[in-house]
Amino acid sequence: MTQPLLRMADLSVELPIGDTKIDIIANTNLELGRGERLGIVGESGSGKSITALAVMGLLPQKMRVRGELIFDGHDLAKMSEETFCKFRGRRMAMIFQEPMTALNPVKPIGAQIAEGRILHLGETRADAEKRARLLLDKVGLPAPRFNLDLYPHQLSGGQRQRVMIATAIACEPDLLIADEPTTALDVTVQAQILDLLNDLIDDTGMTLMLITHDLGVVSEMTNRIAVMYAGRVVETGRTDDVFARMAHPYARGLFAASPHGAGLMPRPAGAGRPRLTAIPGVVPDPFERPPYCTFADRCGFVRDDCRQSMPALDLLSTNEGIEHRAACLHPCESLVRP
Amino acid sequence: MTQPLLKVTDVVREYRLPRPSIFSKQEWLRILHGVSIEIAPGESLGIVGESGSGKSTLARAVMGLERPQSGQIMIGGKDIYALDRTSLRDARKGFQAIFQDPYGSLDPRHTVRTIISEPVVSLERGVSAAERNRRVAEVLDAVGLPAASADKYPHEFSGGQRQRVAIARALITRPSLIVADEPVSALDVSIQAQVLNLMMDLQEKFGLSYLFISHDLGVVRAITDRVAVIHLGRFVEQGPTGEVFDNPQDPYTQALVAAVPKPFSGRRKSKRQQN
Amino acid sequence: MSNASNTAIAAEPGIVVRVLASRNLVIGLIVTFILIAMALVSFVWTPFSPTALNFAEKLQAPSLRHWFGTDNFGRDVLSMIMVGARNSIAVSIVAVVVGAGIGVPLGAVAAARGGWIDGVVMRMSDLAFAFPALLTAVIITAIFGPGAVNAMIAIGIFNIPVFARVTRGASMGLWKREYVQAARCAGRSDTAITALHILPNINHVLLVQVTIQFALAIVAEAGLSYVGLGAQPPMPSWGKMLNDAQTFIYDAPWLAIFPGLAITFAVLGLNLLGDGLRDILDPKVRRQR
Repeated sequence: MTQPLLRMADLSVELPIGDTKIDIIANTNLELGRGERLGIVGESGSGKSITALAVMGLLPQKMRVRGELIFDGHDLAKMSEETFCKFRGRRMAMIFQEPMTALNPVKPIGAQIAEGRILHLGETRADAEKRARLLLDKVGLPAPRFNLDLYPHQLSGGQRQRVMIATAIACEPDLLIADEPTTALDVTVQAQILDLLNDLIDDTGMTLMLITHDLGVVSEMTNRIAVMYAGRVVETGRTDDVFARMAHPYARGLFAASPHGAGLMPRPAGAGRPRLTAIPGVVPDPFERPPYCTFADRCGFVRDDCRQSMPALDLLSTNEGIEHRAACLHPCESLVRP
Repeated sequence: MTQPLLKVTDVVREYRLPRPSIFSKQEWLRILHGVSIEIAPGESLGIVGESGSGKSTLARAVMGLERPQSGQIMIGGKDIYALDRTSLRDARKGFQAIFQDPYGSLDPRHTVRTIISEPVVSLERGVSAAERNRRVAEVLDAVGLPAASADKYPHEFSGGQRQRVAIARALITRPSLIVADEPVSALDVSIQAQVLNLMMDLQEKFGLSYLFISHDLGVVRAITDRVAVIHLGRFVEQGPTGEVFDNPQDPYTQALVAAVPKPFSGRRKSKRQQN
Repeated sequence: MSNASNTAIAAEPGIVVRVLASRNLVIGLIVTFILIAMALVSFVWTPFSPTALNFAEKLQAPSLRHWFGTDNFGRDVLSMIMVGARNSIAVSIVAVVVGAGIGVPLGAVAAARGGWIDGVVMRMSDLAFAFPALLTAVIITAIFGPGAVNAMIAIGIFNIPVFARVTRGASMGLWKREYVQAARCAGRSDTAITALHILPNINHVLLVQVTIQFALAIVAEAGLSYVGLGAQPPMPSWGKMLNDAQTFIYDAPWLAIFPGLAITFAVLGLNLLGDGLRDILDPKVRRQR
């Protein structure tokens, strides 16, 4: 097999607090091949956004990366900031949740899209802006309604997100990281943006890392998934396999609690409203994560040995060359859906 | 048929647009174009719409916070914008509100006891401190928080617990209608399910009616009996929740339901797998 | 100590720890304390009488007997500065009380009511801002006659728009908060909401502003008495001392240096106090993690 585009080996992100350090992300192992689409799913505090920021080298000042973070043969964890700048925006690019704050409000959109090409590819402003025009067309903002000299505030939320996408893909990066790209948008606009991303990735063969809390979005957009909980990957594999089995009780719980799971299924007539299957308790505070399975205290399937050690991410099966792994001593066997 | 608990008739709400100069003509933006809905006692009605549809404006009008330019809002048979101060205070005991942001809806300077008892202090002037404390303990118990929470401050709680405090505050005057504006949108999925379940339990226990505003179709489907879809200040479709979502009639509702990403839909995948 | 209480302390250190951690605040507190102590001590004791003339000892350089020297009438400069501190503090307190007492309610009403009330309050404060503050005070004392009381009122009046603006600006955002909406749903009147939910949440902003205005009032008072519109003789005041010192600036520079230092010291101390208070009180600065 060829070398993966991105490989995390025992990757941890630590945050020093006083004399101690806590791991915001602990011992993550993930591989992402070229052209793959990986979805990282989790709730707030799961570490999914920190994972993305670690790959982009945009972690908050105090946080430190430990372990290996190999991007196309280069270890990003040991890279100097200077070298990193040559990668960021060129080889890897990111789309943020809130396009209003991610775009510069006092710079025309054309200049923002062209900036990367001038900086990374050494193009002249004229060439870069010609290219920016093409990119705007590509993301569905045609001339003359959407000229290069518009400012972000003259656009709607969905249009701004399209500009963000154009900015991100301007230098034809190998890896596109999208952190909750549609969370701030209305559902109908979300559908358009997802369609756009879907088509762009199909056309360019970019690798996608999609961070989201929405199981519907990952299911539709990715072929591979990693479910994170309290700073660890608890289940990973082909999206279809993970959805079919949901071996980790947290993955199962998240699905059952999600109104997409229960709510949009037809409701039995006359039976009153069924309750959602809530997960009791709350995500453990990063300062007070237990030394054993972090989900044990909320788990409905918990057994005695769950509170003795941290379960490893064990192999369950392999399908189409992608391993299905779950970090659970007693993974659920039955299929959620055939 | 029994009398509806909430009857909204032809409500029009406009906002003043900022004038470019003090000499230009005042322009108005019409947010609600004469909307009408009813809620029966014990029923929960969902209002579904996207940003800018006017759903939150409608919520604030029903909460008695923003007087509409025309139309009527009758709660328990009384037009709340036609009441004098004293009668409105009396009527407010019958309808309370829950807001979206569990961090913004509780005053950080007050204890949970002060926060929860505020409606009693303000609306039921004769109630003694002992009786107030008894009721605080009662509603804390109803929302599943320990009695000791009363003397803590909001920052000591998680998002889900804060939303429980907000629900307790809405319950303390024993209202028959609760207006909930996006009450679970800021919460994580697993916590969201806990709060929705709690709201359903409380509804059955106290016979509450909900006016439940949300952009999330899944959430609305889980908790409401009937739903009204609002688009650009007008209702485009109303009906029993299951029927509207399973078999939408209006083109906008159809687009809305179709746009929601769903697990196992296989959408956006087929194309990829052919490549 | 249990684990839980440990983390609680880590998350929100006690008030004493936070005060000591802010160097600005510690220095500001010490300076302000010295200033107030000096003024208080002057009521019961000064090295010499600040008003007694003693021509035998006039224009003496600083010495062990007269630490800060003496002026052309033989008065002890240290004693005059101590009594002058009394005057500065009294004028500043009244000025800040007048400014905040009228400005805060005005700003609060403007924020609560909005509309034309807001417009009128803000245009009035624009008008007040259009005149340089010190000039306003000079005009007022020129009309009503010089004297410490008029100086207090004059400085107080130019504090009003400052407090009105700060109060309005800080409360405007709070009126959109959901807890204010919740209070309105609980039937609270605008006045009750202002008292219970708005002012307690902006008191840190106001407290910082009080220290800044206090410092400015000390400068303003010195300015007014320098031009002869503040405290009248024989009451000593820092500004008047500076004015008197002009004639002797080459022969007896200490006459100008020590009152000048006193003003600098007071203003610097109060500004540090304000910065320090902001560091520990403002939730935005405090929430660093």
